[in-house]
Amino acid sequence: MPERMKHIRAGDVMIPLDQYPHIPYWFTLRQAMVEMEKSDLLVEGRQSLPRVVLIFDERYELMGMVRRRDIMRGLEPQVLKKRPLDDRRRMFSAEHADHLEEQSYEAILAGVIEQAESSVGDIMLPIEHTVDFHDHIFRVVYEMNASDLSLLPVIHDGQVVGVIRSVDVFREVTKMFL
Amino acid sequence: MVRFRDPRKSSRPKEDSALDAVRSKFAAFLALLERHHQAMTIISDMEEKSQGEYLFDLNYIRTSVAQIRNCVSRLVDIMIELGGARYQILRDRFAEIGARIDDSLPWCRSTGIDRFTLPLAEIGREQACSVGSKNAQMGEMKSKLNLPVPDGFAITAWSCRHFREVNDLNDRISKRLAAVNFLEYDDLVRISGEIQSMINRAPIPDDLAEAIHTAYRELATNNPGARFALRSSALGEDSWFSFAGQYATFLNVQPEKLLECYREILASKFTPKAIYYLLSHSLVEDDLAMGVGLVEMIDARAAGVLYTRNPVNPESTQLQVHAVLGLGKSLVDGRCDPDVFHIDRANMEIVGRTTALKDIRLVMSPDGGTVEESVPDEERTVPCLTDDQARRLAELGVEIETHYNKPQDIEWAIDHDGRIFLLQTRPLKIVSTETPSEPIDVSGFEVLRSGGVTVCPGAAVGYVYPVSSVDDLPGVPDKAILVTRQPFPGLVTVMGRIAAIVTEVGGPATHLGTIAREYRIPTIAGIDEPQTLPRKTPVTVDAIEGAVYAGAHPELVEARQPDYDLFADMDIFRLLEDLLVHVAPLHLVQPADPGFVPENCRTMHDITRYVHQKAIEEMFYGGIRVGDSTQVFHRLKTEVPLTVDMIYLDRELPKSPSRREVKDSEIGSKPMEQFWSGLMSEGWPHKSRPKYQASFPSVLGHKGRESGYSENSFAVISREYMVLSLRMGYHFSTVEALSTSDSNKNYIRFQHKQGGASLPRRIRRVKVISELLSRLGFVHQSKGDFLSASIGHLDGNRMAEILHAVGRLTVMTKQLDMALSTDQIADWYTEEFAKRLGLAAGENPA
Repeated sequence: MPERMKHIRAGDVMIPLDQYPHIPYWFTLRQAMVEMEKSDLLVEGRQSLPRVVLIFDERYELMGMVRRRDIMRGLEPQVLKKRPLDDRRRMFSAEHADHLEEQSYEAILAGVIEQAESSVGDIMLPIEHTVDFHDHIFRVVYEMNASDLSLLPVIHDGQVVGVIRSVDVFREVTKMFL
Repeated sequence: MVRFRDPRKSSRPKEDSALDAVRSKFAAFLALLERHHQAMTIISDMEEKSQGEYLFDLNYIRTSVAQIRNCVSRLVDIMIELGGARYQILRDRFAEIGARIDDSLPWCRSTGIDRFTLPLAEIGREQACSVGSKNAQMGEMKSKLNLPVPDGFAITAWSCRHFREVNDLNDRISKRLAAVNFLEYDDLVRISGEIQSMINRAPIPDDLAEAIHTAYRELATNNPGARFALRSSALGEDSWFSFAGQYATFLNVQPEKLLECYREILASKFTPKAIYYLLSHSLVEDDLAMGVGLVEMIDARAAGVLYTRNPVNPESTQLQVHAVLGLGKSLVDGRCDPDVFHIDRANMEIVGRTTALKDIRLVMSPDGGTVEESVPDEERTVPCLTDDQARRLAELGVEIETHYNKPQDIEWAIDHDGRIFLLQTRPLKIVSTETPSEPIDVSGFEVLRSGGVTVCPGAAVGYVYPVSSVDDLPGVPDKAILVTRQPFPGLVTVMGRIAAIVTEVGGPATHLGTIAREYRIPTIAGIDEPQTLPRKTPVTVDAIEGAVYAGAHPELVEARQPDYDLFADMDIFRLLEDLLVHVAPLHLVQPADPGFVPENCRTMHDITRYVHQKAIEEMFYGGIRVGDSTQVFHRLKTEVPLTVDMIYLDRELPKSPSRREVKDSEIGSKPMEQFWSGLMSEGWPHKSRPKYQASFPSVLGHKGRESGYSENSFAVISREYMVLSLRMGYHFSTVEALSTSDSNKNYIRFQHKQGGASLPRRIRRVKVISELLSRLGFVHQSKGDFLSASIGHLDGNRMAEILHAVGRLTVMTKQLDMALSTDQIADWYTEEFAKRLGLAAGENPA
């Protein structure tokens, strides 16, 4: 099996772009959530929900991606954003939200609903890390670790042709041992 | 039914020559839009069919091709009317693309005037349209490959047409064919009898008779002592459909019976089995004019069939030679079991052989025709061929396959001097199956028969129904397991409704085998006394293992189900793909691109796109390129990032360019204002890009569209009328509406096409829009990613509500296709938008 690993490239493991969920940047967080909850990815007979949605511009060029945690952060009502994010231990944390007790549940809910209508373009992660179609899978592992990302775009001849997920990379790697 | 009327009549102001010129142009422009709509519908439908989810037949392809040609031809005519002679070049482009389409069509052009006869030595395969496929392939082997093919000549399809026309047969035949129910055998027999008798009573025209006799005399002079066979060579035969054994062939024909036999071959196109084959493949008899070949007959010591691949196991590296003593007809008719040689294609080694017991052989009768005779005892158990002969045949087979670049089914004969002759070659029908890897345990099954040979793989459950002649066929029940000692002519007439075939004699190399594989009916041969199989209880036929089991075993049928890729091996699907290359791809995208010229039109879609763009330019700019703003009539002044140029049918163009801007609150066209208010109320979805500017080109993008992915939109309007061609991103919509005080005249028409995402996502968007329009009361039709919807007879208030809703919907669905990766997401958006438009279940429409 290790011998087989010699030949596994990013292009062998990637999901082609047209099969992966994506939306334009002006779509809302709510629409991004729909994309995550109502897509199903079938890879090697396994079905899963996407944890990341790709963001394109009107010319169908890839601009960024949103992860579940980006959406969660984006949903946070303005009223809870009094302190800088890095001062708090987790999103929606009440520890430092001095005014939380003054806020009713309804007010917070209204704030979340309002935030859900904001644009994904405002919260997306820009594309800063990619792998090449011909990159060896170990290089993909390296890039994922270095960037702390579980999904990377795959580039072929200067164009994005697909994405590679950590779950699929992990499956290939475990085949060495199972 | 919505009736559309000419909007110009509803709002015609007092006479004005400048306005008249505009209106005159607009009439042509409207006609062009109508044709454009038709062309888009046809192209989208063909693309949709090519996705593999819908079945279609040759008739569909033929009709679609005729429609798109007619439509685009008319588009070109109108363009020339609208823009003048500089668009004449489009006619050349249209003719050239049309010629490429012709090259892809199996039935070619209608049979044109030709010579009555052509020597085989002067024929190549490109003349299949003129002489029929069988003659053309014989000519090809003889003239191009210099292979041993008997001497002979073709009687052309034109001769057949001439015979029919002189005798006024065409209409009479067509009428009878139109009336036949091909699923009723008795009906087939009756109509067949009527048509054949009509043909057999008709005289051969003198000029044709003379031509046939002259060619025959020349052939006989060049081949003294030879005898001749007259064989059918229909135009579609052996190419797109095998028609194996469907038409007549006369062996050892006497000269005085030449014309009579020729006429009988023409009539054989209308035997019950041939009519069934014709109609069950939705072919029209005009598509299959009959060529006939007169060829020197080989007094065969042995003859047979050579398959250059295993027809039920194409992965095998072996080819097969099937051989019988005497003439090969006894083999293909399934009357004699053949010797079979399995030969390795790589080294021509014989790796397997089966030698049959030979009781009879078919030989030429001295008085004409053929007779069966007993095989002498010393030859009964001896192979028909020497190993060298089998290998030589195999080499010829590989040579022919290489020439045609596809597996071949070749008929051959060896004379008493040991010389090999090739009598026919055609594409080999292969059932591309993957034998299921999942093993199934049959040890508990009661075996009724075993040891059969796979003719067509698969399995079936049913009740046994024995037949021995055509007389038994009317009673064959649907889904029957047909059993017979040997194949006989006419079996094809029940192919469409039986579950399996079991025979005692015969094998893969028979005409029955070819046709069973075409109809994909599990078939086995070599089963002892199949007629005695139990009839009162179901049986299961296992055509992969060659066995028959007692009882119904649906799990076996499931396991033996060949993994057909529905269209992978269907010639008809390939044909559609071949044709689409000249119809659907769009190479002319961006009007500002220097390559946006008629010379670059490579498909019907290109011409349609080019004409649509140029018609707009002619209408709005008098032929000046888009971008020269001084030529624009009126321009809509609006907050949304859309450029909309407008022509008023009832308003003069101001002389000063500065006065040509029209605020969107002062459009002055009731329907346009109603639509536009809906569009504006929904709000433009994105006003500015996010701060991250970097972006990566993707394979989903469209080259050439970068600088103008959203082109200008155009409207022709009057106080009560609008037609708006709206380009938003990668899709375009057309909204046409007439809104008067008379609700009977009012209508809205909506069309939508294209998008930037993949075709499945675009189709989902069309479904979302269709559903919402349907809830608004529209009648709609969609083909692929093209949608056409209309509604009429609405009062003024309802027109306003619906136009407003359509305006909102237009914005809501902008580039929505990008997001529609699954049907569930599309369903979610349908309900989401329905709520926003007040169209959710239980709500009153907008």
